[in-house]
Amino acid sequence: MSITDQGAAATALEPYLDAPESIAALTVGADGATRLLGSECAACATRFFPRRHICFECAGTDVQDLPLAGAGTLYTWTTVRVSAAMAVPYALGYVDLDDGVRVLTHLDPDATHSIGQRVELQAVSEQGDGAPAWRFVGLSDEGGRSDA
Amino acid sequence: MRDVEVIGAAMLRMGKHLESTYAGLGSAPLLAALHSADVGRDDLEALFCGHSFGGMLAGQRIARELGLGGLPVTNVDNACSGGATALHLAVEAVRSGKHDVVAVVGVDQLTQFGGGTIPLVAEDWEVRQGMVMPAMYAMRAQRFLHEGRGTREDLASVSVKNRRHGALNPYAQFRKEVTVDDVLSSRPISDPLTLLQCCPTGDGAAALIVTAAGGATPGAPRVRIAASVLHSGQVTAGFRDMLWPEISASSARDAYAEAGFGPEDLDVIELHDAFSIAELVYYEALGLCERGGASEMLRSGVTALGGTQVVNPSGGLLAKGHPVGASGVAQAVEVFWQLTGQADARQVPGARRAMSHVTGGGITGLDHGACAIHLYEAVS
Repeated sequence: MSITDQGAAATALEPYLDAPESIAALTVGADGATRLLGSECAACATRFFPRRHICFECAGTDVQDLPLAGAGTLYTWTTVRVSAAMAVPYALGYVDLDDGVRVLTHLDPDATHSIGQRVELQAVSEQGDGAPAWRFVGLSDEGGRSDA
Repeated sequence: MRDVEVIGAAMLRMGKHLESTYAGLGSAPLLAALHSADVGRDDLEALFCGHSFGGMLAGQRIARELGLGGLPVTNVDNACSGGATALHLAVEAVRSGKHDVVAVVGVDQLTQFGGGTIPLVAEDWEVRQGMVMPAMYAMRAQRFLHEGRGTREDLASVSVKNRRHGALNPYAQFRKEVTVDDVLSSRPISDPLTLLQCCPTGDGAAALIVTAAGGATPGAPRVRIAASVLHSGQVTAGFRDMLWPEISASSARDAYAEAGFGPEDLDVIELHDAFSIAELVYYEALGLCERGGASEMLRSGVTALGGTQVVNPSGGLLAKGHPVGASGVAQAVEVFWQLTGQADARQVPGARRAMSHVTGGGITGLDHGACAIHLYEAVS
C-alpha cells in the first residue's frame, strides 16, 4: 500500500525501512545468476540501486523490486589507503551498469583495473570490517575498452 | 532589498589548537571582528554560527564567552558549506531589513578525531560501502588523468602553488613551500592523490560583522556583498560526469546573474581546493576557463600570485587548512582583507572583485550536498 491510498487519520504513518543493514543488496535473476537488487519506477521506468521507495525522477511511490544488469563498465576507481570507514587498503570504483544505473562497488584490491574495463558482479564471502558481500571483477575475455 | 556590507573580519591562525574548546576558538575571532568593525557587542542583533562537529549550541557557547545573550543565535550545519551558509543567512537577514548589524562565526575542531578522514554520516549507503572524501576526489582525479585533461604533475602543481601562497600567510596551517617531487613522493592516500594533495586535519574559526550599507563609520574598510547563493545537490541514480559538478556550476551561474558581473571580472577567487583535483575541476565549473582548459590555466600562471585571476591567495584549504565549518567564513575574511588592501605579502594589487566558493558533503547520488558562493566588490 502506498501512503496516498489511505486517509491521513486511518492508519498511523510508518517510516520507510531504508537503513543500509535492512536493505537486501543481492537477489537471484531470471537466469539463476546473482544480481544486485534494485528498483524500477512503474510510472517513469527510472531504475535505482539500492532498492528504494520513492522515485528520484517523478517522486512516484509505485516502485518495484528489479534485479539489475549483472555487468557494466568501470567509470572510475581508486585504492583507498586512509579511511575512517573501514580497514585499509581497499579498492572502490563506480560501475555503470548496462541498464543505466551507477553503482559504487568494492573491487579486488589485488587486481589491476582500468577505466572503461568491462566488469561483472561477483558474490564474495563476508569480508568482515563492514565490507559488502559482493563486488565487481574484470570480465577476462573482453579486455579493456578505450572509448569509455 | 538593501545593499549589504562586511565591515569587520577576523580569523584564527589555523592549526592544531588542542588546548581550546569551540567556545575558545570561536570567541577570539568574534571579539576581534567586533573590534575591527568598531562595533560594540550590544549592537549585535543576531549571530549565525556554522559548524559541523561542535555539538549542540556551539554558537551560544561562543556568544556566552562575550557575555552575549538575548539575541537570536542560529546554528547551521551544511558540511563544508556551513560557515558560508551562516553568512548567507546573515546577508538575507540584513537584506530583508529584519536586522541591521549581525555577526557570523564559522568554527570547527577536527583534531577531536585524531587525524585521517573526517567521519561522514554512516546511514548513507555509499558511506557504508566505504566512501570517504579523499576517495571521491581521487576517483575524479582518475577520470581527469584518463581523459587526458592533465597530468599527475598538473595535480601536484596545484599543491605547489597553494603552498607557496600559504608560505606568505601567517594564518595558514602550512607555511613551507613544496616541490612537485615532494608532492608526488608523499604518502599515497587514495590513488592518485598523495598526502600533500589533501587538506590537513586542523582547527580554526573566523568571524564577520555584516551590516546594511551605510552602517559603517565613513571611510572605514568595508566590502560590498554582490551575491549570496546557496544550492543543494541534485540526485541522480544514473550516470554523472564527475568532472562537471552541477551544483557548483549552477551556483556560480546564479551568483554571476545576481551580481551583474562575471568570472572574467574576478581578481581574487577563494575556492574549495580540499584536494588538488578540486581546484582544477572548479576552474571549469565556476567558469574561470573553458571546459577542458583547467590545466592550461594553471600552467599559464594566471591563477598564481602575480597573475590576473589569483586563486586561493590565502593558500586555500590545502595550505591554510580546512576546519570544515570555519572555511566558508575564513574565505570571506581573506576576501575582506584582499579587497581592503590589508593582505600584506599576499596582497593581489588593486583587487576590486572577488569570489568565495565552498561545497561539500558525501551523499549517495549527489555531486555534493551543499554549495555556497559569495561575490564581493570593493567599496571606494
